[in-house]
Amino acid sequence: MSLIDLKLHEAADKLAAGEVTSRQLCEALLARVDAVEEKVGALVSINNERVLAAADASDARRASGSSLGRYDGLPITIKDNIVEEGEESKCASSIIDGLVNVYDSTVVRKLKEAGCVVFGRANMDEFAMGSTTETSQIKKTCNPHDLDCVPGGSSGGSAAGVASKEFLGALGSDTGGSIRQPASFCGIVGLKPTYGLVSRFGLVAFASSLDQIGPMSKDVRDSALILDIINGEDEKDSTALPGKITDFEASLEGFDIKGMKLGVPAEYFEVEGMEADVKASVQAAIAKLEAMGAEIVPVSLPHTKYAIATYYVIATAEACTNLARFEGVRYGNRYTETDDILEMYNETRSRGFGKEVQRRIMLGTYVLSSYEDHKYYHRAQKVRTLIRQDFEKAYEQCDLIVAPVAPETAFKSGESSEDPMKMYLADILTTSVNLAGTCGISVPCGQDSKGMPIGLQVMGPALGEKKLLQLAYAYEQNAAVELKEVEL
Amino acid sequence: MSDFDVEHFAKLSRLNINDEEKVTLQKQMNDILGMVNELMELDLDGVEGTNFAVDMQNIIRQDEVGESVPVEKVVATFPDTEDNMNRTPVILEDND
Amino acid sequence: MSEYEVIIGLEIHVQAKTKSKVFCSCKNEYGAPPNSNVCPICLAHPGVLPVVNQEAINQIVKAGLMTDSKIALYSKFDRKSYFYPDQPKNYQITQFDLPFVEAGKIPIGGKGLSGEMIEPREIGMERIHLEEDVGKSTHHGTHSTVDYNRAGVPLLETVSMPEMHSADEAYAYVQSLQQIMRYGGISDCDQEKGQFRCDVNISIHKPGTPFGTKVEIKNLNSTRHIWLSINYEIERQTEMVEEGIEIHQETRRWNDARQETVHMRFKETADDYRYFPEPDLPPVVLSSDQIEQWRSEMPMTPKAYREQFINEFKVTEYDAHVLTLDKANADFFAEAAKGVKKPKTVANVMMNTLNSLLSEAGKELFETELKPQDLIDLVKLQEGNVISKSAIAKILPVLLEENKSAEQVAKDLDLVQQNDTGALEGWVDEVIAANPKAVGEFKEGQKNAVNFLMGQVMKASRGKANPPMVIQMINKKLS
Ligand SMILES: [Mg+2]
Ligand SMILES: [Zn+2]
Repeated sequence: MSLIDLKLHEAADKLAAGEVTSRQLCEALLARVDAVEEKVGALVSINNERVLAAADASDARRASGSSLGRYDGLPITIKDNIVEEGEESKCASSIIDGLVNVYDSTVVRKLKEAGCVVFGRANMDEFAMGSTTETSQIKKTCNPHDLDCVPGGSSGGSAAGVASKEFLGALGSDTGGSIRQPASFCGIVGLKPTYGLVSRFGLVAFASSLDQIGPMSKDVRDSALILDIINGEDEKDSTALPGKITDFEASLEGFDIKGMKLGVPAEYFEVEGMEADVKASVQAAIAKLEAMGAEIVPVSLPHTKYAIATYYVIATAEACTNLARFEGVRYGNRYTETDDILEMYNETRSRGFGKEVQRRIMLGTYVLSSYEDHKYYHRAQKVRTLIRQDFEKAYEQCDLIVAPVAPETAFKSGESSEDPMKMYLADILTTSVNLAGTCGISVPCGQDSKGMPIGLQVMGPALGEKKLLQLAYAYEQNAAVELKEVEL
Repeated sequence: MSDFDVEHFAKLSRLNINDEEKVTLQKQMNDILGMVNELMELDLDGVEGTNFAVDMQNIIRQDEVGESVPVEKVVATFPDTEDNMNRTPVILEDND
Repeated sequence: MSEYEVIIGLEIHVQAKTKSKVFCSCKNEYGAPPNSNVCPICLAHPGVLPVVNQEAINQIVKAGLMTDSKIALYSKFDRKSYFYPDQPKNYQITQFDLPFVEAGKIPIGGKGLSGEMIEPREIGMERIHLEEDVGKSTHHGTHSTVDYNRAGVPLLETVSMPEMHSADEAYAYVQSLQQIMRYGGISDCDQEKGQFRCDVNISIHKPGTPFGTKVEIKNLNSTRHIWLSINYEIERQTEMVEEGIEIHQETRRWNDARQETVHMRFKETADDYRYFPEPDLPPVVLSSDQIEQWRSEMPMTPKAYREQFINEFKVTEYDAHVLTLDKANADFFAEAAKGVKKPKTVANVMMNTLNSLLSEAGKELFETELKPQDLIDLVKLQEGNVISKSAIAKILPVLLEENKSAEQVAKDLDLVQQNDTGALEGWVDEVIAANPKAVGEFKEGQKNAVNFLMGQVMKASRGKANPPMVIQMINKKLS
């Protein structure tokens, strides 16, 4: 077994036992990057020297008996919208080019305080706007299970790199499904935490009330491990929840699924474009959970069909203001062929932002405009309340909800780029969780006839991560889903 | 519903859209608004809007001066500088 | 007066005094080297988030309490979108529909800049909300430069009701608001430092007819300019209406060199600021108990000072107004007034002699050597007939400059009154002998003549004679 096959928790054990050094781990991964990155395109950038220096520093700590703990020396990759001091966070755009960050995001600070090595920056849809990673202006990311297919998005680089074994685990961000959907497409585990569990300070904002950073990993235990590191209150984020949880990983073992009530929302199986393979595979997973002792109860989330519309109104409204700061005045690319400041703004933004980002900025401007008397925005806020209430009612009847992550498996590149509506509808099963501010995880549960992975989505109430991870872990251990080996 | 006014909202968004793009955008935006218009079906009387994603309040910081960024580091991030200030094209005074 | 009624409303931005900025921990400081008080947050670097400064909330609540306003139990922040290079995020965090403070009152009175007395009354204040200041841009013709030190300084935006009817009233409102902010330690309101910036809305109409179209005058940073521009606008708008020219909604600014308001831009459509609740900041919820606590700790308002002066020290409303213009002066007066029999004398000395001495010297009271106790001593000397009234004006300049007692200065200047009948008699006899004409007039019943004779006695005594005693003696000797 090669070092690149290790899970993070296995690597942590080996580091602790002195069987491997952080440098050995990182060198093995860097070699893998050299070998397959050209095909996969998971990384926007990686600074080998910086990686190895951090690995050496970790090894030195261990050697001198001053290890920072279990996570010291673990390489973890971050999505390109997470800020690290001394690096650029381009958000897969060209508009911020040249801004070397002068501060660390809270998650990066926490990774560093735990001794982790920041192992490069993963590709994504530009400003996390997209479901295929095709809106990246930096490079194309391919699905390691079939290079002709998209990896999903927006955290497509994080998902593809974990699946291709270029890195052991990664951070993604999920605004409407951007962790869970690519995890599902690439056959890995991805967790979108409860809003506020992980600080957003230093996450370049797409939609402030929906964005959450979360783990993407080879297995459920690794997601628990990463969440142990990155969660917790933050005086720099007014929306971060108080407290800090340290035992997500420790509480996985010994959990018994018997008697747990799992809700199945019919609405999630009836959406337009639901593929038969996906439906069958998820239903089989539910049957497996029932066989393991869970009680299956039908629940209803009646406002699911409005989730996409609600999501696009709220997300674009927030986004058009969050992206207003990119205009070439204080940093980044500035269009200089003019003396006119308005022209400088307009050209900087038209050249710097890709088409999808421009569409969403315009939509957001429109829904907030007094021209329309805010009718879309106010209505969307109200429907958001209804969607939250749907979940609250459902969780009175069940502990967790199980459903598909996406109606289809990874599709061919280029299919959705000309038709934004297709891309938007791909989020239909994931956006509700963001609107409700609750948590959800994607765990591999099978593959379709073409061998593309299918994910099982488990959703939980606010701060239900422990139960969520326990159930996902029990399923993973018992179902022993074997995906087709990635060949690159 | 009237057509999406591409020109107006491009201007408000500080974007330049050329004529060719305008045609495509017009159709795309109308499609998207068609989807968004589903929200009009619902009877929302008496429903409170969700203003905030978390039920938290009074998150404040004490009035203490922290570290600022050294001026040379700040200036290094500006696209153009003059006397430690950010240099820009002429700002119209009645632009706001 | 003209047949038109003038309607004036004022929107005033006041920078609040805090150690750090409103949403980040950079220093809130005027005059620092360019871009030395900035951080990723106030520069709107990608990924940053705001956190509200408690002291900014304390300051706005204090401002609300001191203006007799309603303090909101629930308030929130909103984003206001507009692109401008000194506005780093290209949206401003401000408050739209749920400000901290609503429905306040600003008392006006005293004398206007025209010199006319202002009828004391209260002007309604619609609201005060908390927001962030922008950076400062400088225009160089070929290009502009921006300094972001000011970006993120807490601003209290106060919006008056359209209830003022003259430039003098607007002037009095501005003065009163500044006083309140200074008394509360909320802001120094230093206009030169941009701590107090005013926009004026003004329209005219004939009483009984609908309001006229309002014109906005923006960015007035001097009280005098506010006053001048309003008077200019009243005249300009009156002329237009008289000539039947339609007034358009527009924004103008004051051109001081030309002494006129000039057109900036028309407001064809309402501004589209696309307000919506700031998702990065949870709401602020205050309890009634907390507000009562704040109220109990609230500094004394200028109005409360005035009431005390009128009731306790028996000064006139106008005197009280003048004495409270500045808090240091008011405190000085209050302390001095307590130590004398007739506080009115202290008031007169402060408002007249002292005031003119200070303005001649171009100094503030606190910059001099004069202490309240000196003024008490001085007035007491006069009350006890140790010095004459006119001696006060001679002693005060010395007390301003030197750390000496009033009594000492009176002696040094040889101003201690002669109350000894013997000495007085000598001067009186001398004067009667030397002024037979006046004596004759007095005897013929011209009572004014006594004043002339007394003046001569004062001259002869070089101011040391006690005037009431002199008059008594002249009367006695000539009757
Ligand atoms: Mg304002
Ligand atoms: Zn700052």
